[in-house]
Amino acid sequence: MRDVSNSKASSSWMGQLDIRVKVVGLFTVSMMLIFIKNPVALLFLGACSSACLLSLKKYRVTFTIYALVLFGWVCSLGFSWLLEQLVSSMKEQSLVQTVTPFLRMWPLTNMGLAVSLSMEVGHSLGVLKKLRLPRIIYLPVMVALRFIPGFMNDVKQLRDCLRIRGIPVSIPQLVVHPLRTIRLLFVPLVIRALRLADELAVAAELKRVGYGKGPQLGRVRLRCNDHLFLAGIALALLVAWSLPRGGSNIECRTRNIECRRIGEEE
Amino acid sequence: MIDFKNVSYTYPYQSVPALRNINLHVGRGEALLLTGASGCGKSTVGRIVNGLIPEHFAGTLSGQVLIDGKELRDHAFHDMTQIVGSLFQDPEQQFLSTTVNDELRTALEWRGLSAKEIDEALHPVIDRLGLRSKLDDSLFTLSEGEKQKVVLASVLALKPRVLMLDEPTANLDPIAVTELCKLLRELKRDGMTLVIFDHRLYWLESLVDHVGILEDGQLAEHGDFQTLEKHRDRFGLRAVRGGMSNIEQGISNVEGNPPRPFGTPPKRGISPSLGFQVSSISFAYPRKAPLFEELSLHFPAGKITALCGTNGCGKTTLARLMIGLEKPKEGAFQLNEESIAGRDLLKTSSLVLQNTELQLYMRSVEEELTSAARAAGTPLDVNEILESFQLSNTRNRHPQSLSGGQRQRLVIACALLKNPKLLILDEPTSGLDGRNMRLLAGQIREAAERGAVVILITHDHELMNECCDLVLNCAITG
Repeated sequence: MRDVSNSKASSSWMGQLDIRVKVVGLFTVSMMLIFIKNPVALLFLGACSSACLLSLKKYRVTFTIYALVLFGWVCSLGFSWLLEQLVSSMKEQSLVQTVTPFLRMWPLTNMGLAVSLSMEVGHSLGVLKKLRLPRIIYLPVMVALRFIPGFMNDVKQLRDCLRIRGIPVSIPQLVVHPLRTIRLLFVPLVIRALRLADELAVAAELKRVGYGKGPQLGRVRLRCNDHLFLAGIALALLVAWSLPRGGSNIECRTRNIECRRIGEEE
Repeated sequence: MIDFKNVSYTYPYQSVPALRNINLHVGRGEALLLTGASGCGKSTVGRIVNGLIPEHFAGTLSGQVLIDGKELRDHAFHDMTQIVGSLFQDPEQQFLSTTVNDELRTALEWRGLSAKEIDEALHPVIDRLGLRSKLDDSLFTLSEGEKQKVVLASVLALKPRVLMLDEPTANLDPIAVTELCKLLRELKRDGMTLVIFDHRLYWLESLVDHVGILEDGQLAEHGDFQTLEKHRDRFGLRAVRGGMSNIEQGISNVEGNPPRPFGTPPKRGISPSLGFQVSSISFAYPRKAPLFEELSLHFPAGKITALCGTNGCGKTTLARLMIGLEKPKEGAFQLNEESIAGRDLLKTSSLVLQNTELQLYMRSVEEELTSAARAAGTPLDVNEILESFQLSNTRNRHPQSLSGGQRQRLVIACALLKNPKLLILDEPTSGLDGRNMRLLAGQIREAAERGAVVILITHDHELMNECCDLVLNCAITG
């Protein structure tokens, strides 16, 4: 079977980075994304984080997730248009307004996947414990990150099982038979996800994770690459923060349309 | 070492107890085998022995459980993991990491051992279980048997005093079973207490001191290994005899006639040339060494072929290629003398994988069968199917709520409804008791008699002897 969490990824440059640096990077980017509203800046951060993710050479997974996000955006465009037609008081949504939430998700998804697919869980748990983070924080974080490759493996197996059974699952099928397709995908995945969560908890307990002094890791020093990665993140965020707001013209135009319409009504 | 005194246990939200008045004693350095029909309560006993009940599973536990002379409730759970090592039936349940090396080291690291101490603990176990070449591999790419070895290595490296093994041979090839048996005998000689839950009994005669047969949560019989022979029919157990020497030769003769060697011409009036022809296929996973080069095989129609061989030799990959889930780099396939490829392969064939949870989608067992029949365009008599697979009392239940054995039977019933010309089943009897194994063997035999090419990927010798005509033994070369 094809590898969904390639061990080779952990030997890539992302895999060689200290887990603390990756988690701090992920946390910083997610915090900054709350405040960054400029679509050009989000686009820039998305492109930078995509480069990180693509360097792991997990193209199939990456593009599948991008296709799903794209599908979500197209759906949101469709529903916005439908609401405008049905509800007369509904404000017209610009392209930028509908794309911004998805642009915000993009860097976050990239960073989350890149960290998840390039880490060694056992070692990372030990290092995080050394950060003196409370167990209630580092254990769920690591289990959540470990959940991603396991879940992706299940999705792949489910796709094969559906193909064997002769049940087509595709985006056109999702549009034509939404309830049926959702049930076919979600019932086994939800059951598996619940079991996987339970299994991971048992696996951690049986390994005595979180108890006692924890691993003897000695003094784990950050290396040159770790510093460069942190500097790169800081630089990317700084550039993103200072970028001019490219989408403002489009929004102004939308407002003008609204003004004109109101004026016409008056 | 382990004492159960009038132990009863009821799972949360259940009215019927899973265990009732169990009394057991296993001394230090002794080996106990617990067996019985699927769903008899074996796994529940295991969960009590390793402390998951009551720590992880709530519910009502009564009676007295003593582990290492101390009440179970007085042991802190994380200390229990130092006394009892557990090997579950599904090895994936125990993986916390994603690579073999990381998985093996994690538990030792959390016991506070230094890197040198970890290496000292791991190296002998890694060599003993032949895992050295797999250390950098992802756990997701290993075969089921290899996954089981990884879990066993990580448990043995911790040097527990009690080793609890749930269906340890379900996914192991015959050579690995022989090795496991030898390893367990050595551990027992060194004073380790063994508690084994298994349906497959033939390999245990030289190992276990006591056996217990569970039925509906009660210890119905208790005694020495001969007890199994006496009560085999009553409890629907599997065969208890089968020399290890036979297993070492590759194919065992558990009971009955041995499978005929590969290449015997088919009977029942089906032309020997009909069947599934694999012609000069080559295949390699991305960035991996070639798995098959110029491989040619013929699987006759109307026959059941057992595909066996060492763990990780590519049996499941061959099955995925044959039904069109993977594409060979070179080569072609022919079904009943006609070339076939891609989507046509998927349309005319069925593959039943080991993970049954992902193969059931509907709201009830009946709906599952109806949907499978509709997708295949075959007429359906639900009552007949339910009866023949002994699922009548589950008709309106959600498929995901069924027991492992019931799910397995339902998935196979759905695969057969497709009326496939090529049917491949991957370890269809792993975790099944003797009665259910024989039931499945009968159903598989019927599919072959209808003219299908049937391939069983299995290490289950009893199943092979029960229904297989031919055996194809795979081996890693080069």
